[in-house]
Amino acid sequence: MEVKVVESILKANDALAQANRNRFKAAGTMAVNFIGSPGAGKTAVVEKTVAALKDRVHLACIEGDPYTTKDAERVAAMGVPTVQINTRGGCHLDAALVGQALESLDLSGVELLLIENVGNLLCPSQYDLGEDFSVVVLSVAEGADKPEKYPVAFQRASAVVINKIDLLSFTDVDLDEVKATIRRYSPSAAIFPLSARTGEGMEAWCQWLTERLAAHR
Amino acid sequence: MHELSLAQAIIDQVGEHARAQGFRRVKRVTLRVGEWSAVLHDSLIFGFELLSQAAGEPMAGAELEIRSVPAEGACSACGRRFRVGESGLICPDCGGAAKLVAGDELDIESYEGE
Repeated sequence: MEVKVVESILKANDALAQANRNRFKAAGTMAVNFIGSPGAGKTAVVEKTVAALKDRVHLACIEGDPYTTKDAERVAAMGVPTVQINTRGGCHLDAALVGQALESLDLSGVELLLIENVGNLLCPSQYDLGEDFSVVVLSVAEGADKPEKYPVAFQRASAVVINKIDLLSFTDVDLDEVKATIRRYSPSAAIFPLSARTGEGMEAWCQWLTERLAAHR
Repeated sequence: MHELSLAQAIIDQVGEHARAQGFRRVKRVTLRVGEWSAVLHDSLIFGFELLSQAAGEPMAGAELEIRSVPAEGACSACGRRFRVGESGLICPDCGGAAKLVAGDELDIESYEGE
């Protein structure tokens, strides 16, 4: 007998994501999921964003990493509550892992929660964490074709940060071409070329994030 | 992707459903998998069959069938639905921005229970 089911394989994750979303909503926290390849500069972008906003905005961070606590140490060094999730080789954060991290993170008063996913453009894009929106961090050293190869991550992103623009002159990458490719797969995403290292472009990105936060309140 | 853990999730979900319906055996599970879902069909089938061989009732020996769903966009400006090609989510007619309306599925469609 043929039985129709029609439910997502990720149903269990989606239910836990909704529970996380309810917690964020109850605390008035805007949660942002940072997705990008290993080495794109996700931690550097998070770190510089924290540095720019921490005096104006009540922040917290969740750092996803396969093994080490290096990223969390970098962010926590700035005096922001940070929880490390080690996935022990796992290729993405899921809603259950974030839910566990929330057990040791006091969200009361936290306006903005930055969640850094595991370095990977494929798997994290399928797992809802309960975030308000996701941001893809791409670096110019990765070339212009990433959006075509990993369309889902880009299609779901509300913003794309093009990091390491200080390295542009050392690559064959044309920034306009990168932007055009991003727009093909993420027509409505805000695009921010910047260098977390030199700080160039950080202001526009932080301004956008602050505006999103104001709209969230 | 991480096809083995997806395979386990399918076995758990369908097993639970089938037990609740009183089925003793599930012969086949049919999925709808979008072309943008980043799932390798062969790996998922391999993982599923490996796990289903070791599973108890009702999932023991179940087979997996995958129906592929093409990526489709719907233009927010003119409403046209189109198959996503090289121009991505830009409408081929009016150049407007489109939203993905099909192609990221990872769904259990049905199963054959006895």
